[in-house]
Amino acid sequence: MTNHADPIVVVDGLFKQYGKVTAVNNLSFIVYPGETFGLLGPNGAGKTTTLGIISGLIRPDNGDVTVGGFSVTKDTQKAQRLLGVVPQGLALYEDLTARQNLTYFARLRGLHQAEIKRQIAQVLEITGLEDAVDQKVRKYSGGMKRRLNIAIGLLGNPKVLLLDEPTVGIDPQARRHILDAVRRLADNGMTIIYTSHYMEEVEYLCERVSIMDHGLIIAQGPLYEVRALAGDSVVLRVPATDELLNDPEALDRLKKALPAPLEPSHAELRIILTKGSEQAPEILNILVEHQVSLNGMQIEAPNLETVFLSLTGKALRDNGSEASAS
Amino acid sequence: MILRTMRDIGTITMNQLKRLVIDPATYIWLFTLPLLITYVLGISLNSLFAPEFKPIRPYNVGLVQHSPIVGAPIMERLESLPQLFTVTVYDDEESMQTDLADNIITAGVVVPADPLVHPVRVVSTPESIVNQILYSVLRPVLDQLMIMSAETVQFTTEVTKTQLTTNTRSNTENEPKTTVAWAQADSFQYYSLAIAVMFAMYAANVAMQYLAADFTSGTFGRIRSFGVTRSRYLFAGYLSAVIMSVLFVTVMTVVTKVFFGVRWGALSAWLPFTLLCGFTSAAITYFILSIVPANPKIIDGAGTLVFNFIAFLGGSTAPLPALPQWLVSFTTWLPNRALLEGYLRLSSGADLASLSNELTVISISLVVLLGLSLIINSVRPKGAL
Ligand SMILES: Nc1ncnc2c1ncn2[C@@H]1O[C@H](COP(=O)(O)OP(=O)(O)OP(=O)(O)O)[C@@H](O)[C@H]1O
Ligand SMILES: [Mg+2]
Repeated sequence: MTNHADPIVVVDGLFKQYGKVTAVNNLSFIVYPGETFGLLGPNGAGKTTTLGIISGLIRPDNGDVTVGGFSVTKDTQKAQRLLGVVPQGLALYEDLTARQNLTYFARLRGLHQAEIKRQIAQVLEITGLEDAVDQKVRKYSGGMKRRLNIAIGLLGNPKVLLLDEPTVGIDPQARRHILDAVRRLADNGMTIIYTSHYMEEVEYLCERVSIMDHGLIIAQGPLYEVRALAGDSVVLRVPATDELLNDPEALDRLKKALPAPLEPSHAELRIILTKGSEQAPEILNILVEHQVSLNGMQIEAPNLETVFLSLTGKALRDNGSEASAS
Repeated sequence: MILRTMRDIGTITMNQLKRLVIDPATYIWLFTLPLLITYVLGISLNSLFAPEFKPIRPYNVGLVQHSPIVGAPIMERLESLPQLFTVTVYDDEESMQTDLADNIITAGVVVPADPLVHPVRVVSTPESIVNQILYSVLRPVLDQLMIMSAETVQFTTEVTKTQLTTNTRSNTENEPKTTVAWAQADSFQYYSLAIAVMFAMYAANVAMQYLAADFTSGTFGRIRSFGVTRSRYLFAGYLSAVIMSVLFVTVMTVVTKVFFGVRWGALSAWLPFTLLCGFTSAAITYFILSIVPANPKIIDGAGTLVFNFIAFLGGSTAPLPALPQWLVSFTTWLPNRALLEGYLRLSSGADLASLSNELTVISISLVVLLGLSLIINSVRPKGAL
C-alpha cells in the first residue's frame, strides 16, 4: 500500500541506554495515517522502551518522536492526546468491574460525563465485552482481561493506538478474537503500532514492519519486501513422534547439519532451512535413515521468523511457544 | 489547569478509597485485628496498670492553703493515701518553695484565697510522676466541689489544669520522668489509644501499597499517558493514606468507646488531633515509599518493619513506663510517641493548647518527612516511579 498522506508518527534517531544496556539504538521509522505498523522482536529487543518513548513516558537520551506534528518530548500533552496506549501488562484493576475501570480511566482521560457513557458503550462494542461489563475483572478469562486492557486504551478516541504485545499469555481462540478486533479498528481507519514476538500476528495485521534485535532495527519495510530478505529459506514441520524425540543420534545429526538451532515443541519439530532447497535433501535423508515417518510433514514458505533467523542466526522465540495464530 | 488537577486528584483518591472499602482484607487486618489486639492486651495486662501503684517511699508533699473550703477536702484526700503522700502544711508559699528547692519536699499544692478567681496550683517538676499522681488524685476532689456549688464551676475547670511555677525542682535523678498520663490510664484506656496510633500507620501503609501496585502493573504509566502528572498522582496517594488513617482511628474511637468505655477527650480536640495523626501516619509511609522501590510487597514489608520498631519505642506495644528510662527519654522525638502521649492527655481532659510539646514534635516530623520525600522524589530517576 502506498501512502501519500503526511506521516502521523515520525520516530527519529531514538537512543536510550539503561546503564550498560542499550535498549534502543538509533531507531527511526515513519507511520502513515491509517496503517498498521508492526514492531517485531524477541524478548529484550527494545519494543516496550520504544513505545514508552512514543507515548511520552520515557525520555530518550537522543532523538525525538512527533505524533501528529507534536514532539513527545516538548509538546508531551498534545502528543499524548492523540495516542491510545495499551501496555504490555494488565494496567487495570481486577477488584473492580469493567465499567468501574472504564469510568475511572475515562475521567482521568479528561472526558465529561455524557461523553464517558457514550465512549464506554463504544469501546465495549469494539472489544465485545458488553455482556460482562458489570462483572468483577478478577472473574474474567485471560483473553477478556486483555480485551479490557485494549478497551481502556481506546478511550478518548485516539488517532494512534500503541499495542504492546496484546496477546501475551492467552489461548489461540482468545488471541483470534483480539486480532480480529484490532483488524476492525484498522479497517475503520485507526493508525496502529503493534508490537509482538509472534511473527504470525504481525504478518496477519501489518502492512509494514520493523524487525528489532538488541535495540537495533535489522530489517524494515513493507511486509513482502522484508519477507523476501529470507531469500530461499524454508521451514519443515515434522510431527514429533516419540521415536524421533527419543533418538538422540538422529537429533544430533540434524543439529550438525543445520546452521540454525532446532525448535522442538511438544507437537512438532520445526526445522528451519535458511538455504532452502540446497539443504533439503540432506535433512530428508537423515529423517528417512532414522525411519522417521514423514506423514504429516509440512513445508512453510519464508516468513518473518525465517527472516529473523537468517539475519541473526537465532530463533525469535524461545523454543516451544504455546500457540499459533492460524 | 487547577480545575483539572483537583479533578484528577479527587478521581484518583476516590478510586483508591473505593477499592480499599470493597476489599474484605481491609476489614480483617485493619479493623478486626487491632480491636482484638486491644482486647487481648487490655485483659491480660490489666494488672500492670493496677491502681495499687505504690512508690518505694511516699512522696513528701507541701500544702499551702489559704481557703479552707477547698483546702480541707484536699488535705483530707492526701492524708487518706499514706502509702502515696506525707503532707507538710506551710503558712506561706515562699517557705514551701524554699523546701521544694532544697528537695525537702517533692511537690507542693497551693490553694489560693480566692479559688473562684485563681486556680489551685500544683508545683512540681513538669511531667513528673508525682505531678501526674497528684493530678489524678485531686481531680475527683475538685470535680466534687464543682457539684456542690454552682459558683465553683468556673474555678473547677481552671483548677483541673495543672499549673506549674518557674521555681520547680530541677533535681530529677531519683524520680523517673515520664510524660505519659500514666496514672489515669487503665490497660484498656492505654492500649486502645496505643494500638490506634500504631495501626493508623498500617492503615496509611495499606493505601500506599495500592498506589505502589499501580507502578508495578503499568497502570501508573497508562494514567500518565493520559496527561496526569506524577506529583498529582503521588499527592492523591498521600491523601488517600491520610483518609484511611483517619477513618481507622475514628472506628477505633467509636468501638472502644462503646465497648470498653475508653475516653478519647473532647471531640473539638480529638478531631483536629486525629487529622494530624492521619497526616503524620501517611507522611511516615510516604517517606518509606520514596526510599524503597515502588512495589507493594516491599512497601508492606518495610512498613511492617518500621512500624513495629517505632511502635515499640513509642509505647504502643510495651507501655512507656515499663521501658528502660534512657530509652524513654531518648525517643521523645518520635512522632508516633508524641501522638500517643497527645491522645493520652486529651483523654484525661487536656485541651489542644496544653499539648504544645507533642504538637511541636508532630509538626516537625511532618515537615521533615514530607520535605525529605519531596526532595527524594524529585531527584529520583523517573523510571523508578
Ligand atoms: N527501566 C529499565 N531499567 C533498566 N533496564 C531496562 C529498563 N527497561 C528496559 N530495560 C532493558 O532494556 C532492554 C529492552 O527492554 P524492553 O522492555 O524495551 O524490551 P521488549 O522488546 O519490550 O521485551 P519483551 O518482549 O520482553 O517485552 C532490555 O534489555 C531490558 O532489560
Ligand atoms: Mg516489552
